[in-house]
Amino acid sequence: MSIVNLTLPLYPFMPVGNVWAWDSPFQRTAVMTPESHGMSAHQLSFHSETGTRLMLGACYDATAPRVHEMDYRSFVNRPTVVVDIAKGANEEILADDIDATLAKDDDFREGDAVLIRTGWGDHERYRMLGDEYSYTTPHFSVAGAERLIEVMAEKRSDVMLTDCAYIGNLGYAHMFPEWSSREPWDRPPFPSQQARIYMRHYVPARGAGGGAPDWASSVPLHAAMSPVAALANCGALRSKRVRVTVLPLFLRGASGAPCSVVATED
Amino acid sequence: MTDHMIANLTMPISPYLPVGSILAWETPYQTEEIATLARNGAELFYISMGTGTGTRLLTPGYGAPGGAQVLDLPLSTLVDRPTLVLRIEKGADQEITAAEVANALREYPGWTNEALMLNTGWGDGSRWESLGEQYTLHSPYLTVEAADLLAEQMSEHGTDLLLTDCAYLDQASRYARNEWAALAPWLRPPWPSPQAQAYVRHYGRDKVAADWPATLRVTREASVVAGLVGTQILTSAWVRVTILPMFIEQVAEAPCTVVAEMA
Repeated sequence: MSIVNLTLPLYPFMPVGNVWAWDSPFQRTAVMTPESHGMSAHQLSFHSETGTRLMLGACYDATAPRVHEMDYRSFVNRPTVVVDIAKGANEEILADDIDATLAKDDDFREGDAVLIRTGWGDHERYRMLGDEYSYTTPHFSVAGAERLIEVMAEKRSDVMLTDCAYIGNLGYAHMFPEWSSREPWDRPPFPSQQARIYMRHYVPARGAGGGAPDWASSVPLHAAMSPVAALANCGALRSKRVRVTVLPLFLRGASGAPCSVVATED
Repeated sequence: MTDHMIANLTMPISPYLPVGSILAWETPYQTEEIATLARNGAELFYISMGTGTGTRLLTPGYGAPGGAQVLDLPLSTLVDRPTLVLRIEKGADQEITAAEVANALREYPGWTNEALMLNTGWGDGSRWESLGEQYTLHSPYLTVEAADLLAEQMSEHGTDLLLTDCAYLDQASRYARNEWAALAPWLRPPWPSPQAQAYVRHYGRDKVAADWPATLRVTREASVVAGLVGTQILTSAWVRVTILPMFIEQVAEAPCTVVAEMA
């Protein structure tokens, strides 16, 4: 039996959570250290979609269950099928990709979680690319998301994991050109005044809310399943079927949270 | 979905949660809205907190330079870990003695390699919520002798992980509690206030050693998960526990989520 950590490590200014106007970069400040005091304490700041994260329908739906209301039997040692859909920078996962893989995968069983492995999260690419890792990640086309939802529903599958850093359409119409494409010093992150002002103007009519044109595939995926995005190191998995445990930072009332993910290969 | 019963033993994190917001070096969990359903059609928020918030994992690097940090622990220590559950009932401000630990362990002579979970009942129900800061200030704690015995027994039996529903392993009554935590909350504004920074500057290694002997003793060789809640649900002495911390680089303490699986 082997256990593989599929979690993106959290380190200062890691790219996943450091590019969009609603992002606040992960930061870690030493308060006490074994060297200075003989014990440890750190101050942290980040935001609710930092790194590997569990996303819930509650992000877009006030009536959906929140982190402390989930049934964790779904997230502990969950039988999971691993599906390879190799993708590179800016590529979309299409309906044809789902049809060519998951839809006809004999290893995909009733009630499984689905892990879609594009290869993007392998070999510590996040360290090499920095912020580019986030805004050039492979992601789902709308048709790809819709087909995935259909195929998973047929097998009563309600958890999808992927090494895509983001699952939606990467803010192509508004947030990428207006914010994320700028130099980092030209887009100081939340809680800067600039980020607050941008978010005041980023309303549904301008692409907010997870729908078209900025994040078109994001809303249906959130509504149909619990997406876990920004896995890392999936290439270390050797088996087609694994058991996956996903445990979020246990934030009361949260609509999503950073999480840690491990896979066990029997 | 597993057929086994899954118990979540994690303290839900909410603003100013008492575990992690009282001591001078602790940054209370606080949030601020970034995007809201009403304005932005989606909900996202900013988080500020300390590594000592709520249920948390401490590794041997907690008190020892060069000791294992969170990312150094083998996953076999944390995932699906067979665990022996000990119950030593304790109330507010009560100490757990070496004799009580010895008696509890004597009931299970055959244990080996399992993690140890030491439950006092302090984390049962929602006391952590109803008591507020008193939950932290009056938590049961280990005597130095009890910590010594636990550490020795764990080493002898090949065990590298202790879990407990004590909010902290120590009472820290000599300095941190009397000099800082005993003040009215408005007289001890939390880290990173100037007051907290001044206190931490004067809270040197001698004070740390006097306040936290049990923590430093146990974490010398093992990892500790403190601040469990809801352990009354565990009706068996043997469970499988999974602890997933925030996998933060270069820290020896991190908030974690803990579940126990019972057959």
